[in-house]
Amino acid sequence: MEKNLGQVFKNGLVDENPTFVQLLGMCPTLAVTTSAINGLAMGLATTIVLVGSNLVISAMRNIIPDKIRIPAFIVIIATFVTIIEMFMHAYAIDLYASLGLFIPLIVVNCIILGRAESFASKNAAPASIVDGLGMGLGFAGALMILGSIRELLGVGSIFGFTILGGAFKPAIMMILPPGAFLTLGLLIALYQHSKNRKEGR
Amino acid sequence: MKETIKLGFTLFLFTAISALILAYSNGVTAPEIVKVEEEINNQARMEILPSADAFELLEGIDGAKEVYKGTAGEEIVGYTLTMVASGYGGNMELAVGISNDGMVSGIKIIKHTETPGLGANAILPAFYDQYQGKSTESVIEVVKTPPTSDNEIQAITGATITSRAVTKAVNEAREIYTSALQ
Repeated sequence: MEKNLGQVFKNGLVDENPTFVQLLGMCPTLAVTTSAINGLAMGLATTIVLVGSNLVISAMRNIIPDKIRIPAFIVIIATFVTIIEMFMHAYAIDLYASLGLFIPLIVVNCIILGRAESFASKNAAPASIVDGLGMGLGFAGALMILGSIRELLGVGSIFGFTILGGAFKPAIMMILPPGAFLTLGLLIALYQHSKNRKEGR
Repeated sequence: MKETIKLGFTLFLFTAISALILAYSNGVTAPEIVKVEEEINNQARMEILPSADAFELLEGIDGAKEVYKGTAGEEIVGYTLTMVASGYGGNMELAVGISNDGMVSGIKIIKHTETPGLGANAILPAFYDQYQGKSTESVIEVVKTPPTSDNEIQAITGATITSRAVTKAVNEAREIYTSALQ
């Protein structure tokens, strides 16, 4: 089954965006998007793991028996994440200091298992890598948008740069859990609305 | 039955290979991680007790995870105490520097799993710099409004538990200093 790589990429980034369309990985989405940089960092860390696990699972898809594929996927993903964490800790301490908090969260991120199950286990390695990139960046983009909005309204800055000046009184609620649900709900509504309009409904 | 055994064995192979890979990676990275952590801790000690140029581990002091004596030449200039605090998201580790004049010379959060954007803001100077210059004579207290007296710390917005945990650990360090080190 040959797939158009550009289409696969766009599929992850826009059409089946993991956050806005599939609603996968809600735990990190709601928990870490308190600022733009946190959202982006979590998204990029997930992308790295997603590309790696997609590649490995795709390469091994013919030797994994169908009946035990889920435990096998989980073992592969967990191994991959742990190795990344150990090497990051040893050789890239600055990166580890800023991303380290998110790495254990990635193992339980259902986007990774979801893509392993629905894409990587059925497609060749190159397409799986592109799928991982598309889905990962789609996730990263969504988290960054969510983080930017919450940071802007809750702290008055984006990426740590003050945007709204002294007259603005930050709404602390936006960086607390309710802000996550409100922002995510409104963004999903907006996303669906623009999608519906495009399709002429 | 035969299939079950075969599947079980296949899964065993997967986990066994994973374990081998992980064991190897751990063997490669563990010594590096120890080295990196040691360097970070040493840097943290330098930061919170800038007047010292060498540190020596002190044994047998209860209540703190580690206590280091900071010296400049022959003279003892202060101590750094590594404390464990129970924060909102689990245990936090922080180092507290106390100089010989009985002042907190600085604190630094070494490890934490606090909520990003809230409790995790404890690693920002805006919060931890507040402890600098606090006297070890009086109990440090957490307030939610800008501090009005010398021994008050303003809590991080939305992270009172974290702020209290850090302050409690600093207070414990203060007590160890006044009772065992001074």
